[in-house]
Amino acid sequence: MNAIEVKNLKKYYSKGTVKAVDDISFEVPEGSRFGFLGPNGAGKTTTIRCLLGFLNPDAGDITILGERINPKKDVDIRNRIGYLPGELGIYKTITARKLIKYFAKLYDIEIDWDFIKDVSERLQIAMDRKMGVLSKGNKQKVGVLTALMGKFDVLIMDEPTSGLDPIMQTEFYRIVSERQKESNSTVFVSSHVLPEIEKFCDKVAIIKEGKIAEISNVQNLKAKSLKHIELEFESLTSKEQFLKFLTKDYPEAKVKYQFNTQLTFLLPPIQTREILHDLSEQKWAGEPIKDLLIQHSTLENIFMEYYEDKRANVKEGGVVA
Amino acid sequence: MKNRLKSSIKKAYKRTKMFNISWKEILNNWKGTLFYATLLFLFCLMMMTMFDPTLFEGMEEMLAAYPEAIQQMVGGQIALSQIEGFIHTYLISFSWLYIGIYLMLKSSQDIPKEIDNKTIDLMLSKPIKRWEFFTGKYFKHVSSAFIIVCFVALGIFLGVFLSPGINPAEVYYGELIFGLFWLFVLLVALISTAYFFSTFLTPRMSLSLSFGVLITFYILGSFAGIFPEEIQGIKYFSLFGYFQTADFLVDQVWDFVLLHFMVLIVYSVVVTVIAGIIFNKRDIPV
Repeated sequence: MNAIEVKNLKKYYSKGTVKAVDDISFEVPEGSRFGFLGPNGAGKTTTIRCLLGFLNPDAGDITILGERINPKKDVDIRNRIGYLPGELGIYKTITARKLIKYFAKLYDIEIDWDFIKDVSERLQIAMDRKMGVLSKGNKQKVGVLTALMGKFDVLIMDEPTSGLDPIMQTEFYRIVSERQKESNSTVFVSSHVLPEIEKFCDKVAIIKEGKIAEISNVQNLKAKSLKHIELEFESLTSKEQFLKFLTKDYPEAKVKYQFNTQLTFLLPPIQTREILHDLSEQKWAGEPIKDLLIQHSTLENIFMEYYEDKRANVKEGGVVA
Repeated sequence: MKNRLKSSIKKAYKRTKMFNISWKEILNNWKGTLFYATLLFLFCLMMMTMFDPTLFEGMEEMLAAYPEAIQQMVGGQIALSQIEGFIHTYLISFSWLYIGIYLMLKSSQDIPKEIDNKTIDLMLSKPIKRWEFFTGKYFKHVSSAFIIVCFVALGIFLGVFLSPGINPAEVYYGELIFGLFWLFVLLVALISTAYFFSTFLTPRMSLSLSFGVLITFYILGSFAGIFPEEIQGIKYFSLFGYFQTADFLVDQVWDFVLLHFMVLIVYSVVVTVIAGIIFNKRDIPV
């Protein structure tokens, strides 16, 4: 069963001139960790707000945990959803402890107080200090706690680690992983911090200008994506000679970065063996290469491929495409 | 049978979410409300102890010579030498100013600030219906009005017994209590108006429009008497046109009292229901 199913969701603003979400469809399998990627303004938060009933979609169907719902009216489903908003707003005059107790009264489910105690200790949350005096990171920790306070079947988190330091980010993902294993919940994370998503999620959707550009398993996406090849040459002349050869014989290659004698380019996986052969044969008639590194593209590189039309092309001196 | 009982217990529990929201809102605001109510209690007590029939008899004659517009501003009937007239003139007819503005300020800012501060996101992601959130907050303002009016009443009644110029045996307590209750109903109508604007406007727009409407209501309701006779009915476009406590406090005339009273209640209910529908339908923006 899918934990979340979105079909042909549309949300337009300004009488249809601004298409925040434009006919998107995706499925999040139960028990999976689903990353929802896109830069600011791509439509991630709008999609989440439609899922939770904050926004009225202009069209589309939403199914959560097998039930086709009107998220605004069918509020009972929220007993099974933990949510962490992207921009967290918390009442300033009360403490985290009081906030959790208050929210507990709004759910119709049992609240796991032992778990709350454990998480508050692990994230070092000041439970008895008023929210108004807490830093952004500490407020975010309270937000995390509110999202995890029940054994929810679905966790929807919008930029969850925003404001958390690297140690707390690691701890956060550890806690979410433990929670997920414990209750077989589905985690839906929206983010533009790609290394995090790469490590944590098993499936991702890339949203671009309100449309889904790609949905895939992270490993498959990486496997079918361009290979990342880094070369170091003995001299600048040698590098220039190789660049000429590359442009002529491998027109699909995309130069990402070049600085002094270093060159980084992307190549379709199917051509990897061929270029290795050419490198060993020194087909470009230059000096032998000094060093070679071939990697799968990172999620970040893959993501950039979808957005590269908006980015500057390679520049001598080290600008990434 | 057991299932039915279980289901009704569950339903009753669900209903209490609205009261949970209300209670939390009241607890968050009790200091401000109590402080303001105490100030008004002391103000009323001070005013009551100032009452002196002989002193105010002279003032009554003086005010009677004032233009009609000035008399209308203080409620029309001026019977300052009579305790009910004194209370009406100095405490009740100006209540819109010192209680109404405070409550409208609070209620016009409530929902827009929740949206601006993003606190609404965490709230509405919980299994509560929008109307529960909406009414929970509305009851906070109504309860604030109730507490303030109770403190005003306490100041007035304590003043009746403490003021040397008042004979407690001659006071019409029933009329006074009804007058104060009517004041509460007027305040609820003002709250409903401001709360209505707060459901779809920004904090600044909501505040501006609420005050604009309040001033318009006051001008229409209080100065209609100085307009040409054929358009004097314009006062019934204002909430103040239905707040005629002087009729029964000063003149003991009870004509239309119930009708006016009901109009204020119906107005509050209708405006609040419309506001609830708007809030339920609107988008909660990022």
